[in-house]
Amino acid sequence: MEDIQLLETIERYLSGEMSSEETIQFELTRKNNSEIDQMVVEHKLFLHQMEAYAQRKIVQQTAQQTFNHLLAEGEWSPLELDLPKYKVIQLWTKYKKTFAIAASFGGFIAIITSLIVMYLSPSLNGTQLLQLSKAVEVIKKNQQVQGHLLNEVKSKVPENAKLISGGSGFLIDIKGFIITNAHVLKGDGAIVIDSKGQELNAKIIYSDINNDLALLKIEDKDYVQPKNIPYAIRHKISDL
Amino acid sequence: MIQISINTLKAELNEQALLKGLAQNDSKAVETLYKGHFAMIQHFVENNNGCFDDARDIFQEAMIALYEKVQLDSFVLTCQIKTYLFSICKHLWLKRLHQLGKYSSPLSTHEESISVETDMGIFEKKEAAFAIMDRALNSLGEPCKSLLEGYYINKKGMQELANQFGYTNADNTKNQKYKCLLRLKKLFFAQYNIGD
Repeated sequence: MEDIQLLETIERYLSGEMSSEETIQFELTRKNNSEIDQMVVEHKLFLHQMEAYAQRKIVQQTAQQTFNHLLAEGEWSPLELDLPKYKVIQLWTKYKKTFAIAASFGGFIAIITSLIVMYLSPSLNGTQLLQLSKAVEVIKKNQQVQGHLLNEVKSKVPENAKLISGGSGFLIDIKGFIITNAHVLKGDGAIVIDSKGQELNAKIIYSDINNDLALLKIEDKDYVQPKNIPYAIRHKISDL
Repeated sequence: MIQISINTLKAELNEQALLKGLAQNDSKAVETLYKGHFAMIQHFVENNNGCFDDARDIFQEAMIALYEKVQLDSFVLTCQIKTYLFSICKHLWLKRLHQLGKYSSPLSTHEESISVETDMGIFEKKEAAFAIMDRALNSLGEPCKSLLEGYYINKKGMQELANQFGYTNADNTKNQKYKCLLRLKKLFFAQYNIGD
């Protein structure tokens, strides 16, 4: 409470609200009490700072209001920047020197490395190289023979089976039904080869020797059902 | 010849009137300054790694610096307002770029500028004091902050403040104001050094 009263007195004194009598008395108190004197000095400084703060705050407000008002009226328009591009340019200008140093250092390292490799690698003479290429040739030939054997194994024709007849047929259903001539089927099984050369196992479902027609069905795990057969089949009596 | 000198005189008088207006916080003067010079600063900042909002902040700060300078008793402006504002903005923007670590190449500009180092030194001190007061006021909390702002910034009377805040009378308001003031002074002087 005392603090507050003292502060009030000081503020009245500093703002000149005191009567001349009161002022003389207070100045006497100030002279005799250094603590109060110090408080007056301090408060004077504070009020000065407060006034500066107040003035500046008011100017700031005026500036802000004026700016917003003019901006709303379309006095200026912010420059639209292509931000990502802008960033890249910024990065480039910022790290230009770093890039240059890094690049030249990288080039230097590359040259040194190749020089070291050249220096350290053993030199080969002609005969050694010849031997090496011959060995590679032998390996290549072996591989070709093996590849050939592998192709033979892959065929779906049983090894001891004899191909007794052959003919052509066509797919009538995506499930793998094939129509062909009955006379081309001379056994109880069949191998179908599609247009791409893939071999598939097929079963004879029905064969009509009178009309010389037979129905085959592909039964093979490798058979991939097409989405549709590449031609249309219509119910119509043919007219020769 | 005579015509030219009259025109220069006219322009000079205009500038003087403008500065007087700024010193009195006249919004017409502030508007004239914005209309006359902001576009130049916008152009400058946007061409030197900044955006529109940066230009807005920088220009406002420069205008306050000019205001502070006009307030001084020893005030003399030795160049055009345009040149002065631009020089301050350039100084402030360089500093900002430096703080952000963005500055690498010389600023691109064709505007002439003067050295504002001395003025800026004074301005920065004032700005520091302003920031301390601002922080102190903001950490007071309500209603202390608004009460003191009402009294010291908006210069309202005790009775008006009593009505605004709902105190029963002016004396109670005054008492409350001094309580708040004690707290504010403590906060302010904890950070403010007279020697600085």
